[in-house]
Amino acid sequence: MRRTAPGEDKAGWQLSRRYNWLLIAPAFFLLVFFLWPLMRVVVRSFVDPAPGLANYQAILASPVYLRVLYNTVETAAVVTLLCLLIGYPIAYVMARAQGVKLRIVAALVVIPLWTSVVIRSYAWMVVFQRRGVLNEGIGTVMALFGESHTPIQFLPGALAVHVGMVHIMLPFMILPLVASMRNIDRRLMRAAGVLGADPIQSFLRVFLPLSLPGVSAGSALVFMMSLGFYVTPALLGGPRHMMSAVLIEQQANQLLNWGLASALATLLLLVTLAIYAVHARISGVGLAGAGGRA
Amino acid sequence: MTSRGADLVVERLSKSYGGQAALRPTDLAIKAGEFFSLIGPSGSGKSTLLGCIAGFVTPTAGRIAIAGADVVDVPPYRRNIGMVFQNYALFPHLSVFENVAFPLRLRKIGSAEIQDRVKRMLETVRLAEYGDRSPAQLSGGQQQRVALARSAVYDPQLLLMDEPLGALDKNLREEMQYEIRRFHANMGATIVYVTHDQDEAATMSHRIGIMRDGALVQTGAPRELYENPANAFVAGFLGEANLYDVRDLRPGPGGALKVVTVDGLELEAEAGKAVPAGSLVACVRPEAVSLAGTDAGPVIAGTVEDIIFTAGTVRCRIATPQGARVLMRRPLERHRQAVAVGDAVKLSYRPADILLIAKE
Repeated sequence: MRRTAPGEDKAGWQLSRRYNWLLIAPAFFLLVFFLWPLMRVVVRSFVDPAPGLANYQAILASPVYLRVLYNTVETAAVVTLLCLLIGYPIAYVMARAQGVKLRIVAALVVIPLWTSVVIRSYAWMVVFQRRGVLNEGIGTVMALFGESHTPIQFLPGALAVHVGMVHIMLPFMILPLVASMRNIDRRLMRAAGVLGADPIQSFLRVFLPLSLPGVSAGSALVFMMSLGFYVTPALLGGPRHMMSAVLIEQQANQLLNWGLASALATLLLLVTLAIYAVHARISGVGLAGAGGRA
Repeated sequence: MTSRGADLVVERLSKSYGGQAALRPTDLAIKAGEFFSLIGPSGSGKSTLLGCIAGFVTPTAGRIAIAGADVVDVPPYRRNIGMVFQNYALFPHLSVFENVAFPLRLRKIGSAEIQDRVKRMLETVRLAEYGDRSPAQLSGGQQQRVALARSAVYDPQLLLMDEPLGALDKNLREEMQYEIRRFHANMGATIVYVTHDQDEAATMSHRIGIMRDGALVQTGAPRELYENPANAFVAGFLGEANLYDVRDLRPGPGGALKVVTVDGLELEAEAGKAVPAGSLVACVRPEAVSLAGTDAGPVIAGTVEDIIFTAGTVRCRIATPQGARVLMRRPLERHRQAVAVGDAVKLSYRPADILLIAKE
C-alpha cells in the first residue's frame, strides 16, 4: 500500500467534467430535502412569532439557555478530546497492522457501528444505574475489604454522557486517523532514524505532524456530530446535563415554541460551520470536499 | 568541514529470512574516504548488506565495525551515518531548509550555527535560493540534491547511498553523478553506493563489489574487474563480453594455447598464464576484436549479421560458420572502413586479449 511518494499525487483523481450531470439528482435531493428545510429553519428563527431578533435576545438573556449552549460545546469538546486520546493509539496500531491482525482490529472498531445508538445508550444505562453493573461491581470490591458501599448516582450525569458518547463516536475518530496514517510513507521514519532521530523523536517530528490531517478530520467529524447529538444526552444526561438537541426538541415538540427552537438550531449550525472552517484551513479541504493533502 | 571518513569492516556478515539466505557470510573492508560501489542484479543482496550497515536490517551473524567500533547492536540513530534513498525520503511537511536542518536540530545544535551550516550546505548543492520551498515544489534532481545535503550536513563519517539516481532520467543522472563525485571530493566521507547500473558504478567509484545470489563475487577497481573478471558472471555484468564455454585446451602453433569452444570456435590464447580450475569460459571484450587488415595473426572468419549505431560507437555482430556469435565494438570514427550486413569479414585479435576465466 505505497501511495504518495513525495512529488506524485499532485491532483488526486478528478471526475471528468463530462460526468457532472450525474450530480444533478443528488443535488436536487439535497436542495429539496435538506437545504430548503434548513433555510426555513433559519428564516423562521427571525420571523416566528414576530419579525426581529426576539428569539436570539431571549436565548442570550436566559442563563438556562446559555448554560445549555455552553454545555453542548463543552461536552462536544471533551468527547472529541477523549476520542482523540483513546483513538490515536488504536489507529496507530491499526495503520501498521497487516492481514489477520488488521481485520480483527478493524472489525472491533467497526462492529459497534452496526448496533443502534439507542440500544447502546440503554446498555450504558444498565451499567450506570443505581443498582447497575458498575455500582454492584464497586460494592463487591468494597465488601471484600469489609466496607459498605452507598451506590453512587451516575444517572443522570456528565460522566455517563461522556462515556456513552465517546463509545459511540470513537469509530468516527479512528477511521479518518487510520486513513491518514496509512498514507504516511514508512520510509520517512526510516530516514528520520538514520538522520539521528530516536523512535520518540521520529514520532514527534515526523509521524505526528504528518498525521495531523487525520487528527483534524476526525476531530471535526466527532465535534460536529457531538454538537447535535440527541439520544445519548437525552437518556443519560437528564435536565441538569441538557444539550442543545434535547432543548430544541423540547421547545419544538413539547412547548411548540418553533421560533426559539429555530434560533437555537441556527446557533448550533453557526458553531458547526465555524469548526468546519477551522478544519478546512488546517487540512486544505475546500468546499468541494474531495480530500487532498497539501 | 572536511571530515575524513571512517573505515568500514564487515566480517562474516550474513542474513537469512526463515532459512532463506539473503546474504551469505560476507567479508568486506572499505578504506576511510573511499568511494565504494555495490552492484549486482536485484535480489543479489546488495540492499540487504546496505541495510545491515545502516541498521535497518539485523544481521543473523557477523560483525560490522565503523571506524573500529562494533555497531551491530547500535540502533540506526546512534550510528552517525548519512543515507540517501532512491525515493529521496524528504519530509513533505518541512521546507527544504528544515529538511536539511533536521539532523542538526536533533543534535541540539545552536540555531545560529544551524542557519550557517544549512545555508552553506544548500550552496554546495546549488539550492541556496530554494530554502523556503516545499520539497513537492522541486524537480526530482533538486529533491535528490536536498537529500544529499541533508545526509551530509552533520558530517557523518560514512555515507550510504541506495540507488540514489534510480528514479532520474539519463541526462539528469549523469549530471548528478558528477555532482556526487564533486561532493565526495569536498566532504571526504567514506561512501558506500548501491546501484544496478554498472556504468554508474564504474564512473564514480574507487572500487566496486559485485554481488550475486547474496554473496560478494569480486571486489576491485573498475578497471581491474573489467580486465581480470573472476568469472563469467562478472565479465558479463561489468561491460559487454563475448563469452564462450571452453571444450578443450591444447598446445597451438608457436607455443600459444589453442582454445576450442563448445560452439566449435577455435581461438588462440597466450600460454603460460594461470588458468582456473573447473569449467572454463573464454572471454573476449568487443573492443578487443577488429577487422583484420592483414592475414598476419589469428583471425575469426564470419559474416556480418547485424550493425547497431549508438552515440559514438558502432557494434557489429558477426556469425561464424560454426554458429558462434562475436560482438565487435569500435568508435564511430574508425568505422570508415564500412561493412554491410552480409559481408564476409575476418576479425583479428591479440591472443593476450583472450581471457580464460572460471564459468562459476
